[in-house]
Amino acid sequence: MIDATDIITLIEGSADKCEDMLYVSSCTSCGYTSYTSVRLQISYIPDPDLWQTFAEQIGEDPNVTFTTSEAWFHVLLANAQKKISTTSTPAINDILLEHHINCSQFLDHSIQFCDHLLPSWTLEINPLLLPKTLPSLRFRLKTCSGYQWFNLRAIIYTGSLHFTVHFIVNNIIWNYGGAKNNGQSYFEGNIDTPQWTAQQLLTFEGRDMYLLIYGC
Amino acid sequence: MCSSLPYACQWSSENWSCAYDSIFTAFFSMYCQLDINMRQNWGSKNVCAMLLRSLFDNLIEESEASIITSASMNASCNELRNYLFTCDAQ
Repeated sequence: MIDATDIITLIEGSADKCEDMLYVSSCTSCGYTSYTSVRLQISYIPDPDLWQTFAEQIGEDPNVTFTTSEAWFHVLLANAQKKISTTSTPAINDILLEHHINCSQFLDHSIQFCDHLLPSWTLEINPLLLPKTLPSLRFRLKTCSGYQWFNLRAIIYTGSLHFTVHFIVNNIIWNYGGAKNNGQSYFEGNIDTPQWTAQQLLTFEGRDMYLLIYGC
Repeated sequence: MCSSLPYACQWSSENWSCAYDSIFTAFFSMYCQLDINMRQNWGSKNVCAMLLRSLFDNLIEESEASIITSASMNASCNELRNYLFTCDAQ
C-alpha cells in the first residue's frame, strides 16, 4: 500500500520543500531596502534535535512534554532561515555587500529579513515525536506585509493500514474515510464550540494524527 | 468561495485508494478555501501542483453550478493517481 507521505513527497518534490521566496532585506537605521529571491528549504517533518536547537529561540522550553503545531512551524522556519544565513548564498552576499557600500555605519546595523510565505503548510507528525504535538486550530506568522493567518484545514490519520481524515470547511468538522455512511463524509461538529479541544483531534477512531494541512 | 457542503472522494473498503482519497480530499478542502491569488500561488510551485490546481478548479466550478458528484471527485482523484504513478515509475 502506498503511504500518504510518498504522495506528499511527490506533490511537494521532496521532504524538504524547496521554494523560491521573495525576501525583503532592510536596514532600519539607514533606510536601505533590497528585494531578493532566494531558495528557502522548509522541512515539513519535525525533528526532536531541531526542537532542542530552536526552542529557546522561539520562547519555548527545550524540555517541555507537549507543544503545538504552531511552535513547530516557528522551529522549522527558524531552521530554514538559519540555513540561509549560514550558507554562502550569493544572493545574501550581494545584499550584505550592497548594504556595506551604501551604509557608512554598516557594522552597527543589522539586516532584517522577512519573507512572503506560502499559502499552505503541511506538517508530518510521527506518533513517537517528542515533544508531543497538539494541533493548533489557527496561528499567524510574520511576513513582509504584516501577519498572515493560517487555519487548520485537514488532519490525516493513519493506523491499521488505513488513512482517514478530519477536514474543516467553514469551521465545521467533517469525518471521512471510515466505513460509516457508505464511505461518504459526515458531520462531526463545529470547531468553535467549547467542547472541541485540540486533544480530541489527536486520534480518530483509534488512528493517530499523522499529517496536518494548513491554509490561509 | 468554497461551498459549506463537504465534498470528498467516495471511500471504498475494496481497494487500496485510501491514501490517495485522503490526500486529495484534504488538499481540496484546503485549496477551495484559498482566495484566487493564493490558489494561483499554490498551484504554480511545480507540475503536480499545477495539475491539482486544474482538477480542483474544475471541481469548484462544478460545485458552484451544483453539479458536483462523488463520481467527478473520484475521476479527478484517479487522474492524480495516474499522474503520480507515472512520476513514481520514472
